[in-house]
Amino acid sequence: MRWLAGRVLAAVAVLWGAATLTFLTLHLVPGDPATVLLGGAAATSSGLREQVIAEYGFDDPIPVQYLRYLGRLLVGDLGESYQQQLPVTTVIGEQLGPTLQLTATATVVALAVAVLTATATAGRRLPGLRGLTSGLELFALSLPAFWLGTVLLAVFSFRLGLFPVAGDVGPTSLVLPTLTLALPIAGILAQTMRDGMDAALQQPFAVTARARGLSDLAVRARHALRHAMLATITLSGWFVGHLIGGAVLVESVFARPGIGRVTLDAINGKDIPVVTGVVMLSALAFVVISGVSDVLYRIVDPRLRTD
Amino acid sequence: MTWIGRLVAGVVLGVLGVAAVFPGLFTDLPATEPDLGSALLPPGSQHWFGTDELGRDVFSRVVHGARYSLLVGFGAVALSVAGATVVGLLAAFGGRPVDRAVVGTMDLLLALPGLLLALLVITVTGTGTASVLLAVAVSSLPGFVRLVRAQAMVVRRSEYVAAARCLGLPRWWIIWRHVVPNTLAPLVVVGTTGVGSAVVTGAGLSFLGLGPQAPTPEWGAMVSDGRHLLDQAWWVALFPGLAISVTVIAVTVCGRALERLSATRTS
Repeated sequence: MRWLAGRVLAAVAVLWGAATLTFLTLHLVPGDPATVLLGGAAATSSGLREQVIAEYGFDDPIPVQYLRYLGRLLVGDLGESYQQQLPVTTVIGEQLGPTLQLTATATVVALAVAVLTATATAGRRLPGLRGLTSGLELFALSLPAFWLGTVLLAVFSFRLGLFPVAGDVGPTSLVLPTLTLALPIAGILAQTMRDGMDAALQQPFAVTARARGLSDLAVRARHALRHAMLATITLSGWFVGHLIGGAVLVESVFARPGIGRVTLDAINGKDIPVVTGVVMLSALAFVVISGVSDVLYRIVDPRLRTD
Repeated sequence: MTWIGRLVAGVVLGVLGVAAVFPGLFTDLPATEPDLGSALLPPGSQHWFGTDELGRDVFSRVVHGARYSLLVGFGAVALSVAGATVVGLLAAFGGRPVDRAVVGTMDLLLALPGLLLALLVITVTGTGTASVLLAVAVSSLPGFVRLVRAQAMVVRRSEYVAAARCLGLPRWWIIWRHVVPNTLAPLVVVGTTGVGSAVVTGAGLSFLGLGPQAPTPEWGAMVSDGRHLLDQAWWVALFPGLAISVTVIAVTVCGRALERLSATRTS
């Protein structure tokens, strides 16, 4: 119970911090907030400006504004997009689908690739394997997502004509973006998992399992993999960050609709409420995923279930 | 990694450094002036990497672009490490409340994706090379702060600091003379490895159109320009992207060599 309370408190702290950060961003942008929110429209109509100042209460002292801002966030009101004249929740909600689709398939592919390579290669002394894996890791590290996506696009869409060039038109248009997002992540995950499995295969329980007559594959899949998953779950925070950041770039490369495009449009148009919304959403994603990973820890590792 | 690999990486990094400062040594062709008569020529003896849709030599643009990526890569890490040193030392020596506040803030910043953090900075500062540099620096700050703080905590408990305190030396002197050098040494090594990811993040921001604006020959922006020409001129996007990867690999290999060197020295 105490554990749960601590978790919830930490989650609230992260969300509160993210809210504070976005509030600061709004007030750090050069120019007064009303002009910033309105963008170019402020110059043309002064009535609109007064309206915005009244609506947002920009005349009030900063602490009052801050508290009101937090109050609005608390009831899920992220404000209104000044570019689209729509509630931010609507703007983001409409574009959430394609991004969720992309990140979900990328997660599945990255995990599958990592699990397969780790299970197949851990603990084996194949000639050149170590060099190959560290080479691949370096490769994954040095390969910007936008660049990998561009190369895939050039080869598979333009040269071979296998996949659509751009946009979101059915499942085939999801293949290249998914690979672009998943492969670099899979590289790092595979490395971590493989190290975890190497360690697990040395443990007494692996030897015991083998002594019981289990096949090598069964030992790997049933016992060592579970152990290796622990290190992987630890990476989940990094994983979410990489997925969201990567999605922005990948969506831009493949001209896909989604949160990435919403974010870019908002930044270019100084549409701060939308930027705020995206930041809050990603903080929420982080909080949810780290909550889930805490639960997963307890499922995967029985030693943690004592309290 | 064998010594040959390290040597090659070092040479590549050296060449990139020279190209960043003296691009004229590698090419006579202009990087930004359009020459519409020779648009979209494939790679050949005249134009090694071909030309783009405005007839500009891609090789020349790649050479001239080295300075932006290296500036953002090394500059952002240097700025980030400098900032992290101040904040980290503040956390380590400023008392419990300050430490709590710093750790809490850094945990929050680590919760947000690095790219999103960088995008927030650019929302405030606007586009351009300086903005990208600052954005990348801020996005890598939390990791460095954690390192500085942890390292400073270790140094603070060391015997030589205790000895200095016994001698009655002032606090600021101990921090400046003993803690800072011993905290920074390992950080410089980690920082070098971080330059690679800083180059990638910086190029990514430019790819999104948030970096230096046209006609600046920035590698990420060049990949973005070439993306629309993939069906007719693959070379426009290929070579700048290759330049990014080569740079990152060279920096990372050199960083790891440095890491190894310092590890063998201290042990």
